[in-house]
Amino acid sequence: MDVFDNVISGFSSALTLTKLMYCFFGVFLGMMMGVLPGIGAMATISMLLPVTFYVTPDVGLIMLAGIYYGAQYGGSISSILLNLPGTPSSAVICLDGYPMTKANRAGPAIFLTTMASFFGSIFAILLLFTIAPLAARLALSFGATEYFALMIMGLVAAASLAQHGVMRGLAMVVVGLMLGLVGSDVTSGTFRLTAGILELADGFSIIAMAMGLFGVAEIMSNLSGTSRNTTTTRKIPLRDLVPTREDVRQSPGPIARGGIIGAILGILPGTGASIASFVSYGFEKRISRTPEKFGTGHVPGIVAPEAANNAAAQSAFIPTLTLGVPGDAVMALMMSALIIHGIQPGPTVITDHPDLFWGLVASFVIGNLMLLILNLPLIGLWVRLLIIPYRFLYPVIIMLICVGVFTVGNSQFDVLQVIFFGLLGYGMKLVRLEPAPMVLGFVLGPLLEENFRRALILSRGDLATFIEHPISAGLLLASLAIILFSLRGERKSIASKGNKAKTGDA
Amino acid sequence: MQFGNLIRKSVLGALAVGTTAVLAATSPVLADYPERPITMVVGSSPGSGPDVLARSMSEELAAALGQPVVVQNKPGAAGNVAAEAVSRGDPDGYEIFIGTINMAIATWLPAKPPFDPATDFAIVGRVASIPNVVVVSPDLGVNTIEEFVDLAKSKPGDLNYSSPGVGSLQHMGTDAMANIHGIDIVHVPYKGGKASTTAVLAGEVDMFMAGMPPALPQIKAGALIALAVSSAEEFPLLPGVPTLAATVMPDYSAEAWYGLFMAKGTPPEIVDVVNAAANKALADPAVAERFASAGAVVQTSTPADFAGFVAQEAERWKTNLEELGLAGTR
Repeated sequence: MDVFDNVISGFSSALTLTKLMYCFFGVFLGMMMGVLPGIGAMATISMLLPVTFYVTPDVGLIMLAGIYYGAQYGGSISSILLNLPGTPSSAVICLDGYPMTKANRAGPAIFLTTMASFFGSIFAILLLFTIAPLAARLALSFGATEYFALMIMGLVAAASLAQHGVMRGLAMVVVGLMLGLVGSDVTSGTFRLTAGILELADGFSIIAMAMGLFGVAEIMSNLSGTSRNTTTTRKIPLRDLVPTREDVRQSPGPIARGGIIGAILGILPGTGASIASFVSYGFEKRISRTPEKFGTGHVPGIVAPEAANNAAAQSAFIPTLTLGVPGDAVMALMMSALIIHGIQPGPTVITDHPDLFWGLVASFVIGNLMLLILNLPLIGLWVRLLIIPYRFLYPVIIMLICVGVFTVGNSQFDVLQVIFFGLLGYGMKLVRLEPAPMVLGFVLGPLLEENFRRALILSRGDLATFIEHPISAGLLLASLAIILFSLRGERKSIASKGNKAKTGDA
Repeated sequence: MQFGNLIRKSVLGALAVGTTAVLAATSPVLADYPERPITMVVGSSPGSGPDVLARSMSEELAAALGQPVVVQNKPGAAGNVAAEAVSRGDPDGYEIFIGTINMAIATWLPAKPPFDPATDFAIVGRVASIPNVVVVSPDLGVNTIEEFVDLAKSKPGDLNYSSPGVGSLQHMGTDAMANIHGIDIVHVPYKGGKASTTAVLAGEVDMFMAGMPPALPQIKAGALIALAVSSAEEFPLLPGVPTLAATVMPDYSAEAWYGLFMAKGTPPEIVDVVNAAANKALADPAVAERFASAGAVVQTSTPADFAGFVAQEAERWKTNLEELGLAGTR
């Protein structure tokens, strides 16, 4: 069997002491940096890039990759404990993770997301071992029309992120879309709505936005006392770190679905972990029999997106290594690490450097096991963070956010953006508008527009292109079905509850 | 106590640093340069073309200067956020910007950055150049650039080409070729050179006058066919691929160039020190090898030569953009 050969050659290459050490170092550092708000994989990897010049390329890559997926594990921990996403892709974990903390269930929440991370990653790694080259073909079959249809589906999912009613959710999606308009327009090259500020040429910073809307806004509302839970979060019993039987029973389905969604979206260049986690949350809420429970500390609401963003982090390596097409900025960085070592990432990596490729994939398995073993005993420690009085915790968090956001682009302007989005998020909290649909609108908007216009250039203005391409037609049909299906559900719930249809299901 | 001591020490330290800085700024003798680490500012994210070049030469540059060289990324507006910051920075030689051809092009685009590449910097010297290469998918059925031109002529308005944006070198180069031969081919802009290359791989567009870094591995793997290069001479890593000048675009040559820039007003003595150190670093075969794997060719120059070249490029692309109707009105 080919697959067995791959597995064996991979592990025999990855199981050396040096590689194990660098793998451990990478995942440990990645996890820690993921926990720290604002400092993500990107900043950490760019700081450690020079280290890779002194080791062989495979060792360097194993370490950098470890940082990347390790950060995905860590990102959700601060989302759960402090309503403060460590990375943009774990922003959606706040929705149900933080309510669990408020209900004194932080321990089980972290336990479950750790398991979800592990199984989500393992699922994507299995894909890597078995169908990497085939999956890479899928990435190439996605053109402008297909991306457009996919973004439409993402937006349909976005509406369901709303917790305080559909209209409010949709309104925030629209605000997010509008914020996404800021920056240079890909099709014409002109700067839009930048107010002459050169720093806005590439649009608002997604990291600054996530940190401001979730983190800074949360801290401000706690300080001002508008949040009702300032006292409850202080008393966390250290027992009950282990989830209940009910929690465990609810998890496998969402983890599996999240893993599949994440693995598929991770393969597509340009989508990545953030969209995967939002979409899988939306999807889980759609198919749930109890959508009203989402947002109140519902277990599927944390495990599905967590499985998805970890799966996406692993499968993002497929196009990078097999096609030489990086899925996101971090992947581009890893490719440059290879280039500096004289290895051209591209279609020939698997055949020219099989040890490197399969060794890296095997190191993913090892790294994820390490993360699992590392994380479970640490849960108690993480939860203890909540005992730190706010007067110490908050200044430290604000400082970390500012430092983290600054390191991404070495830009003071990005720190100003955090303040802007912090104030905006606080204002939104006062009038009960939610940030999650807005962030998703912001992420999807530019991709939606860019691909829509590109598809129309390619079809010479013919709108039929979206239904002539089978993948795009299928995705659009599915989106339509979701809307019709939920409209029916909405009508039912209105009929049964009279005018008080505040389920948030759309 | 301990803490008080620490504070006193830091205050004294800060004072000392401050005084040295003032002395350095006022002292006419610059013999001490460099006496602290130097920052090499990259205007794009880690892993981008200029970033790879900066990191590929930073060690050797540090050795030549006798001080550590720290690469710092400050991405934004195709490198112009960083360029502007460096241009207005302290003229003390501790910030070196690795500038690109974008400085000469973007200056004349509608959203004009507040600097002139030729006059608002202390220009240090050239580092590298990266030619463009015309690539097509093997499925298109053409093997030479002449065949491609014939195909495009026979199907007016049917073929597409990608580029990393309006006014990019890749866009303007293809447009120039289309003008010479009266070809009607549609421009489809993408976000970056890698996405533009992927579009050809996937068959979404037919041709891309690509930058070397994303195209080279695909050419080596046979996933793309290289038809011609945009440099005046053949590209060493692609022997046998003719130049555009020798085939369909007589006298044409255009390459992405990379060079070092410092703040306006940096003393010429410091510029000379950095120029000499950079040229020494670039002479190291290890650097040339790393540049080659990034698709770049090492190029060195004197500060004056490079300054002349930058002024010439700025003028050239200004005219070019005006012809395209893209030049700035501000």
